[in-house]
Amino acid sequence: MPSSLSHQQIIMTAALQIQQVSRRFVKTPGAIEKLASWMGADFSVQTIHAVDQVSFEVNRGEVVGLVGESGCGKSTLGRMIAGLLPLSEGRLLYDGQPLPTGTDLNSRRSRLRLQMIFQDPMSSLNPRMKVGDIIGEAPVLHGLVSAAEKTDYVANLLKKVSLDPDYAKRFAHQFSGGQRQRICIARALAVQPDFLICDESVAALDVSIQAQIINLFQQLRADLGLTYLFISHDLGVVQHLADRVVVMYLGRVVETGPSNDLFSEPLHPYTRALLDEVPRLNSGKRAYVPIKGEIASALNPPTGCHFHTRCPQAGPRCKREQPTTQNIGAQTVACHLHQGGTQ
Amino acid sequence: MKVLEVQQLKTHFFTAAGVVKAVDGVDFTLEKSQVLGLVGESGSGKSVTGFSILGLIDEPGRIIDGRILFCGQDLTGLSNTEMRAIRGNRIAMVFQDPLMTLNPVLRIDTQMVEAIQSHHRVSRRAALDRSAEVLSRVGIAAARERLSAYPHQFSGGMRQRVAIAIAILNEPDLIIADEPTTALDVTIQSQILSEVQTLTRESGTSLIWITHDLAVVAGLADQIAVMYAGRIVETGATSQVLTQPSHPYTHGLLGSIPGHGQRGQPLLQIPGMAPNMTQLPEGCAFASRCESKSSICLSESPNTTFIGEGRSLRCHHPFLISKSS
Repeated sequence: MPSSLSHQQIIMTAALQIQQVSRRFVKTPGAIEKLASWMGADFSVQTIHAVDQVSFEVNRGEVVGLVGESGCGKSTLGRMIAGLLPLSEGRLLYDGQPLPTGTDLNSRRSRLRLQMIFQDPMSSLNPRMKVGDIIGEAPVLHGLVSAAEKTDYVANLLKKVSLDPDYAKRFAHQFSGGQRQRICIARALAVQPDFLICDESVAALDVSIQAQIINLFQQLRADLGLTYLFISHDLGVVQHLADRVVVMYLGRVVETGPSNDLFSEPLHPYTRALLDEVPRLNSGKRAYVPIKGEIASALNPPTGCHFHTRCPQAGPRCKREQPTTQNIGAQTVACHLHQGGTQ
Repeated sequence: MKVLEVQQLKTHFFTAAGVVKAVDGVDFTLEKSQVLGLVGESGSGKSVTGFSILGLIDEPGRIIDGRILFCGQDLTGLSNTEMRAIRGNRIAMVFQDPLMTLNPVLRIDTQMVEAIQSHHRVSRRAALDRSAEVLSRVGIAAARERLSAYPHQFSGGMRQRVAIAIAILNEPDLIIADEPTTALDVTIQSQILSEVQTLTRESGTSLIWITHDLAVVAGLADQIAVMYAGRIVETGATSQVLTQPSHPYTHGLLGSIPGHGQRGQPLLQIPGMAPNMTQLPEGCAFASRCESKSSICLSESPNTTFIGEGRSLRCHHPFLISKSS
């Protein structure tokens, strides 16, 4: 598909619009700290900018990969989209309408269309409930099926994720990791969503099982017309699944673009560094040349461009000024290198 | 020079549910300053192989057969005291989770000095000097000051560096690393891989790198051994195993790794899952998931065959290897 055409479709069919979304976590002082500050000690309130002014869109039927190191805010963003965390700032539009944030039944019902699948299937399945109840509870509660139809409904869902319908009578601990992840997927599908947020959903699985789940995601996408936000630190998985990729670093988006462009021609030094460091099968024995340092603390982020402390091409301007986001072809990038240099 | 020679190693666990043949006839050799990538899925016995070499098998497990020759000395016959003199001194291990291996209530210097002084009669000052030197060698800045920190004051990547530093303190001949980078980000993983590479090159230490990720060992290992259900099903030079896998399991594993084929196309997948280790089928353990199986696979377990150039494999129906002249 020529990129100009796909770009046009993007404008026409945005399913989810993330507009200037921020999330701050404020560390409230404990009792002793309060006491100490009454007595004159100096305690400042610590604020973590987990997600800082993030904007991008996910189009209907598309798979968007959200990548970054641990602590970059990708999971926090996913949880905000799923409605598990309130936003500090910004807006989330779904099909052009603001996503309701309330806890009343109507708001909750309208959020059913977005479902989340977590990394660790064992800790997201209730160990005391039978699989049939885990999957069937939500659709019955929300009136999608009657209690009498539940068994058939669950059996159908289990078949959809290639599990035996008889498994409905078992408990989560009786399954292997891959099967548990299938149960989580069936539970998410039970409320008939059209948007799935997968937060490291294949990270805990063995390679051969991971391949099975990735294939299942692709098959479900084709069968049910699902849209995915696929959060992962594994660039190989993202390269395989995603149509478009969003790269985050310390709460900010540093680069976005169609997979083909971004993987063949990364614009941001951070993306380039990330891609260089993915172990590849075909690389042969080679010397690893890492980027230095670790992701900076979100409590005390660097000034200017967050990446300048680790960037091999950083200049004085990077320390001073936060780069704005700029369009280059179908990609967007926030880096001074593409905006008149780093001096 | 052969640093390690494992011959017909069998480590079984005698549980209430039955005998688990976690390691069932494993053979491999490791030369000086070589890196062996021991690859397999969870439950394939790769970690138990590592633990067996170090004599860390607890009840109900037992090494029931085989020999582990370390520089010519059989480790399986050694007493606990003799083993302790080797462990941490001549053979060291790095585990997956550094929080489990570092004592949370002791400072790093205490733990490092202890590791040195339990094997060598040196002063505390000399041991501290050595600790600081090794810490800076694994890429920890301001090593002197960091010595007096507690493990919780380090990030995950830094902790793993400390664990690696402790492993190389006494300049061992062999390091066994059990998935040391699995829990880390790619950037940190790459930093650690680069440091490990430098270490093996400079000090001539041999390394066994246990992992489930073939892509990681692709850039690191000289030799690869693929384990399945307690047995090594294929070994050979890394480049050959990766480019011409001949066991169907290796072939499937390589095809399952995303990011290499066409985007959006289904990945090659190995159907089913790893067998229950208490009830291994007769014949080849991989038969139930194998596409090229025949009746012989269900009745007879394949023996190790050597197919030249240091390669061996256990399969009745291997993929043909084109002979390079």
